[in-house]
Amino acid sequence: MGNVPGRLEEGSNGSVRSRTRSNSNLSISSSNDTLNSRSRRNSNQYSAANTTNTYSNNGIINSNNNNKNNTNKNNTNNNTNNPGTSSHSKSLGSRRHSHTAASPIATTYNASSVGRQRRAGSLVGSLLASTQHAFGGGAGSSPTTPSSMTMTMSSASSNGATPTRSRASSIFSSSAFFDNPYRKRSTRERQKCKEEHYKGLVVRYDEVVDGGYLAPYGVHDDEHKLDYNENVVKKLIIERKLQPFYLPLDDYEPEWNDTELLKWVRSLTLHQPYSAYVEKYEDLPGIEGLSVKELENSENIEKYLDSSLSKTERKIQRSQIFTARLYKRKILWQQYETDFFLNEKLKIDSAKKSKFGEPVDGKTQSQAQSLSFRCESWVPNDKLMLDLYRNGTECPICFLYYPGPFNISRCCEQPICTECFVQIKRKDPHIPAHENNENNEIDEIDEDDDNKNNNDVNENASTNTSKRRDSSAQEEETDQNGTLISEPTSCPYCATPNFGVVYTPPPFYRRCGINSVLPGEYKGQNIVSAKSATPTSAAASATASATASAASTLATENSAIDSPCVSSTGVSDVILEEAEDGNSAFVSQIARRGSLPAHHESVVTSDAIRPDWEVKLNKARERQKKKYLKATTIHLNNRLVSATELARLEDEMLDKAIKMSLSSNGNGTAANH
Amino acid sequence: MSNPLPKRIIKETARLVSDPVPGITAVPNEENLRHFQVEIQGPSESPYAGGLFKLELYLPEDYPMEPPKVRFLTKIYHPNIDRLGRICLDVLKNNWSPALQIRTILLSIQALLASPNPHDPLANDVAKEWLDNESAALQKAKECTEKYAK
Repeated sequence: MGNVPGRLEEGSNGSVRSRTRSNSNLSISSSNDTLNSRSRRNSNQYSAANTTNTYSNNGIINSNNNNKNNTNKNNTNNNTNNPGTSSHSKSLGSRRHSHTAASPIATTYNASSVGRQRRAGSLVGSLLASTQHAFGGGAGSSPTTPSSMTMTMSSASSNGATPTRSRASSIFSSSAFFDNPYRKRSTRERQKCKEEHYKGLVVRYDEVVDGGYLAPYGVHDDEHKLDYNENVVKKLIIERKLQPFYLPLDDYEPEWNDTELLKWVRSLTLHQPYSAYVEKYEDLPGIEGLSVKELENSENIEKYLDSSLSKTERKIQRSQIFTARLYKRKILWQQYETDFFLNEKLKIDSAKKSKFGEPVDGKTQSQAQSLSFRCESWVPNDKLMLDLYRNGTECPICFLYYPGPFNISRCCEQPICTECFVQIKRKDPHIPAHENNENNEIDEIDEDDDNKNNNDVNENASTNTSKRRDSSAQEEETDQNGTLISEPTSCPYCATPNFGVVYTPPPFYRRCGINSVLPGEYKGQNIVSAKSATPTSAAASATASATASAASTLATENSAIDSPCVSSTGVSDVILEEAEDGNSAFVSQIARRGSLPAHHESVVTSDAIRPDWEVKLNKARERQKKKYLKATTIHLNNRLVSATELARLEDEMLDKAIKMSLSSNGNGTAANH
Repeated sequence: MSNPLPKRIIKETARLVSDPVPGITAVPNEENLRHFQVEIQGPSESPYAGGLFKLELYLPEDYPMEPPKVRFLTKIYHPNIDRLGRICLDVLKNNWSPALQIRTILLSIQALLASPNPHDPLANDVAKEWLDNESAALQKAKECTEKYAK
């Protein structure tokens, strides 16, 4: 396996290239499969519910099961709140709404679908809480057995409420997917899409998976390369098929002690600071000095336009203003999240201080604990930070230090952070280069006949395998030179085509955030011992066992059990151990794997996160065809203009021909005579 | 400069200084840290041996996702380098990978000096000479090195 960039040896124009032939090695442990299928089932719930989606946080139980088939579009936006909602989390929720709300109409929309809803979940013992979530509107969502149990528990447990989160979000609203991608969209629609895309790129402090986030930190802040499908990526991260976007450290020294390391980690913000001044947006009217509301209203752009400009120039200016405003709004959105994040951090710090200031006896400790719990924090705690950043690596592409585990290239098993992975994309459709041998090589190596690309773009093409697509592209290439092509990305390390990565999620005890414990309540590996140390009330233990049995019934029902962080009872410990056993087996299996084919289910390819590449290619081809047609028409017209000239030439030639035939006739007759 | 310098560029620069490549130096400009002054020694056992070639290297805004721009400043007689100093090298174009670095790119260029490829030329006249009469071409390259790269 040539797994090191083998390009150094290559002298001149890249003749020597260590290309790796990836063998289809399908020997992945069965536990992997079950894991995957489990998470897939979860994801199916997301997609089945069409627009509504649940992140069950603290919980083990995804109680959507009963509502799984509820795909009725009319009621998808309804998100019934738990009766036990605490006022605190409610106020949090409404705060979020006021943030996302753009207009009165949008408010209602946001409240139901985009905005975040925080609810009080339950706190059992020290850790267990399960989210119940019900969607399905008027029909009423009858809580499932486990959720009703936790509801009683939440009333029983008195030591504070943990926020669990359900976000009925537009993240997985899939209506767009069924839209005809070739339909011509209006400017407004396109702007709306862009806006949504940028919204999706905002790092939200409460979108945490295992201590990382669902949106990029902004290491490569190039708009053109951040055009990946953010919904697909978020989904993959939640399913733990892609490393979350961790906040990077510039440097890391192993000899740092915990305090030093924490100091660095604590100083991280959610996003790389944006530069407030962008040269190309300078001098544009209708941007500076506007309120947020005015910035959001693209209707008022009209009045800032320079009326002396021509129609097309005005059109250009309009889109420039829109882009500049969007940039500004992007900064504001991110600023909001960052501020919130920092505030939470401050709250925790002050809580800690008060904890240390008081004498440590049993009572105050539990008080301090409940206080820190009430911080309801999405901010990862120190333990998590240390666990994360003590086990990191430097990404070989951006040279920044991230917590592991990393995405590993499917071909040569080299690490790459998600920040860099999402940057790697097909080149824009282009005319093929003169040398063809490289393409042949691709075809040879490309062992995969993946139907994975389920772009229902081109009805005829949808059944095509990618190989056939490649080869057909090649045929076209040889047939009519000049057809635009788009080659799949290749691995940055070994140049194997069709770049894809595999991600092995961290062991269960290291998980937190969406589908697991809150990052602020992360306990780490010694979870069981830590729990046994905490005093448990009678009520808590009773409810804990109740939930544990509920959990076990659910387990037998094969429902989504995502977190082993259950209670201190025997049953759930068994689950925990089993899960951990399975996980470690899974890890070791993965560690021994060879390269994987691009269509392997655990591989995420560059094309998978930009599913619209084919649409783009076809559109570009259409455009090119139109251009050619236009050119041909112009050419023909030119010929027509010179028709008179042509007629004159024709006459001349006729004359000459007659003369020649006459003279030859003359000769002939002379000879005859 | 609107954006702060990415960490990767800072680190690469630091590593180039702390752990230099034999026969190659790259020093960033003080005003623009994306712009490097490069010197490459001609590889031994090539007509460029003994020469010191000056180049300029620029890291575009989206580096490392886009390749650096490199150009010879010293005149050189080579089939893959034209009169303006532009270089025909696959890793500077289509085969660029973000896993490559300034260091590796400069090594590739040094390797290009050691093994010219007249079959994929940039300077057509030089390539023709190279194919028709290699010894004469090598002699010319040597003379050019003597004249310009010393």
